[in-house]
Amino acid sequence: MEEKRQTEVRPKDGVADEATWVAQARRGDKAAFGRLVKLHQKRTLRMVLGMVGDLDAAMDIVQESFVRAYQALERFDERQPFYPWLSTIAGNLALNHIKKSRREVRLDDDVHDRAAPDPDPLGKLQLDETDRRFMAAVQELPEAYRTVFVLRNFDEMSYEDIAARLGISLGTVDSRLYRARRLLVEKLQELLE
Amino acid sequence: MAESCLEIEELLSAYLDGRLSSEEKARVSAHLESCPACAALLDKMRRLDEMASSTMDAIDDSILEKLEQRIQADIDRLPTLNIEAKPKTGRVIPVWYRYVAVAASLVLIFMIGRAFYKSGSLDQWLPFGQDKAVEMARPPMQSAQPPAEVETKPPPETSSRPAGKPAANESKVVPPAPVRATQKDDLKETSPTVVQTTPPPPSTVREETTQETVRPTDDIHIADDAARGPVAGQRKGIDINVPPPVPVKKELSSETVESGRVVVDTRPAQESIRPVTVDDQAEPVSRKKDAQSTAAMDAEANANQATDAAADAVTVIEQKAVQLKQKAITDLGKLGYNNLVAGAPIRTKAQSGTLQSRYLAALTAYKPIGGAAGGFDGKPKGIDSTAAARYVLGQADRMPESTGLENQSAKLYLTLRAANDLYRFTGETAYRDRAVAAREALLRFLDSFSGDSTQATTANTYRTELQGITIH
Repeated sequence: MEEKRQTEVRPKDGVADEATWVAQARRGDKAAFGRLVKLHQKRTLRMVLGMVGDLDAAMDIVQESFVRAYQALERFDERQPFYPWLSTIAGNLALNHIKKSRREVRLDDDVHDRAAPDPDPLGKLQLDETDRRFMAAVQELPEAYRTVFVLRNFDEMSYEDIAARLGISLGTVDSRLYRARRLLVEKLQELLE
Repeated sequence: MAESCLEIEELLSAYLDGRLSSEEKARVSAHLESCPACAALLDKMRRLDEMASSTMDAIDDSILEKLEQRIQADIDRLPTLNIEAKPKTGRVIPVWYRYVAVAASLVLIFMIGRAFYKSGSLDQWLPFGQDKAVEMARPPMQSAQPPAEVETKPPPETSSRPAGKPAANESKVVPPAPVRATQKDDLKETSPTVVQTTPPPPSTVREETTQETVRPTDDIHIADDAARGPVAGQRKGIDINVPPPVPVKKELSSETVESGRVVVDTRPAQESIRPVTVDDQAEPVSRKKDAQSTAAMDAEANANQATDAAADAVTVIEQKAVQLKQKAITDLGKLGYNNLVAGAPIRTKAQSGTLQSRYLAALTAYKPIGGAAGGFDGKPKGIDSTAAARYVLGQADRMPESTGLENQSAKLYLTLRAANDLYRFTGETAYRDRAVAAREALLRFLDSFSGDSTQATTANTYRTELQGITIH
């Protein structure tokens, strides 16, 4: 049970083809980029959804992430795997979205004509009450803990990949993940009893 | 024993993920057999993982199909790429880039410091007594200086070009069709299209319209942030006036994590695109032995947030430096080259713009490439100038012969410049011959416009321009 996720999960069938698709896309083959989209969109959406907790916003962010990746494909080193680059773009956009939302709430405290936030941002997903409360609890985690928890549990990244992505040590990944889990256990005490 | 439980508890997360050494793992396993509380906690942590999985399983195919269609529609609207494979050796970062980055960092730090100083916020950071020293040291008139000195906000009409650059008389920048109706701020980063409504003579094109009008796809334009509307403007005010340091830094951080744009093209993108989250240096690698109640953990979480906020501010400065570096590169035309190769600047008015405007747009894009390559008369540095020159030459070749002054002059002028550069870059004499032939043809062509006063003036401008070109 302990060796649940040691390495980053990647679609087995796509690994060999990925570099080819990137090269083809760089030469103007949009269909090849479409194959990259199909290969990575689900995993990207999982990660972003875990970060923002809002399906519509998550889909917008993933969409934007692929667009930006396409526009920046010239700078991408095609010898590197595509997904870490893509998910870093998506992760940054997700963080921007979170901070922007937080800022808008602060600045618009006195504005009453502002559109009300979606009362059920996960309404399009078939989730039971337990899952909804779980997602809400994840959103309430401090950002540093939530990021590590999401990368580990939603993106299924290894500790090493998380450390590399965030520029932190393995020990910090470990301690943040522990604290995230501990806080979630506290927040979801009733559900977990 | 309670102390032992606390020690074990901090190992449970790593135990769950199989991250412990065999010794630690045996220790935890032994403890779990005799401690129902820790075993229950482990079980709860495991159930969290199960919840994460079941939640994500709710993302069904219909959602993914819809998402894929949306992405594909966006990609279909974007220009088709035409990017050459990178050399296996990787690109070399010119040393002067580092100096630009360092200089940019110093300028930024100076500006931030001055902003705090002028707003009085700096005084609140100083121990009692030092603020008086600062006040005494401040020149009498300095406090009366308008805040515009530290304002980086450009006028709205100039926000699409580098700050401080004048607009070209005959050019305007038109953003492309929006990719999507959402994320409006982000759409401002997409590449504009150069429209040459009244094509100028070559000298005008070279001196006025090149770097001012070509805005590469990924240009950042820090100054633009301030011009993005009341929210940004309000934010700037908050940054300067709010006394406590942490909120100030947090606010600064929130507007800068623009991942796709922060990438510096001369490095592997993975190195430069990073979430703002930074290493929490305060957390030791080894596990603490002290007990942590939930309240204490929450307090620590808050403390960590503050630490992250402070670290964010450092990251912001670093990212600003990167942005400034990229802007410097942009001004030299590095990304103008990217756009040129991608065909973006060639998209002109109504997509079917006149051939003349196409070639002038090509020339407009070509000029900064020459700048990035060390000038038209310099040696190429760091970018594939040869590919750019070939591209421009190809554009000129496809332009039909014309009797019109502007059209034919643009064709021959582009041919001359591109062929001359290709000769210099490749040493192939065929290019030199083409450049010589183009110049002679252009001079002969210009001679035929000596009669008309307006056209004669334009023709003279071309002649003057030609005198400055040495074929070598």
